[in-house]
Amino acid sequence: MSLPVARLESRLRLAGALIATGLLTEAVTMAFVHPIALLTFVGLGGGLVGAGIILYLLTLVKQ
Amino acid sequence: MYLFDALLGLALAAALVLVLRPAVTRSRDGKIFAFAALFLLPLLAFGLGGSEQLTRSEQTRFCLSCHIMAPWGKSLYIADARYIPAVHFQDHLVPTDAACYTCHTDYAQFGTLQAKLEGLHHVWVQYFGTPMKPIHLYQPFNNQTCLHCHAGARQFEEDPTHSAMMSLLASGTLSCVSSGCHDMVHDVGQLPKQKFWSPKP
Repeated sequence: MSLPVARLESRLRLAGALIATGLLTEAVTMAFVHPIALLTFVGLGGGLVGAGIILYLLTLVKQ
Repeated sequence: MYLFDALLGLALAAALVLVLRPAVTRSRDGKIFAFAALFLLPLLAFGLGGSEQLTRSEQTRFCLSCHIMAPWGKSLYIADARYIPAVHFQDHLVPTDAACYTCHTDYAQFGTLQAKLEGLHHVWVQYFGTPMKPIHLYQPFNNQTCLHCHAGARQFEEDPTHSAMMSLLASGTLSCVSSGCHDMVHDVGQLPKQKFWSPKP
């Protein structure tokens, strides 16, 4: 059963927001040469981007 | 770095377009755009950025940004040429911006990967665990790290002491830094008694 258009677009919007936030986090960490910057890049930035990608892929599968 | 900046900017702009106008995905072109914006570009940006972050983690200032490593950083400035790390650092026998990484990376097949994983472990322990006291190497210093540069070098090869024990050095039976030959290394316990070199600004 496919998702209604409104729900689909809402999920895509959320996926985009997660990815945009993750990318912004990654951009900020690039201003520093420090272990915390590395951890934040991988943990927070990577985590948000990964969550957005997974949400998008799940939306595709359900669609 | 510029490629990463450009890719990050592009990925961010594309993601924001979908946040503001998700209706663009109703068309076929919009679906392709969404695939690029929500899958390809973020993955590429993460890969490139991660690669840059890992390269930065090889820098001396990255290692020394943890306070616990400060004495080891200071030992690089000991004004005594018998101290092996100090003379390598001060005379630029190793790249000064990657001094720690150059001497503390195993040059075997997966040496770089192993160093990165150990580095990540150090970062984790620094913030979420209890660092070992006193800090020490996991394993005895590997002669291959020295031989990676010195083997084949004329000054090293023509030294009768080195040539006489080359097989022992190559096999690791005799350690370069702990067999009474070049055993003055960081020695951070002796720092208060040392004089230090101050590089000209």
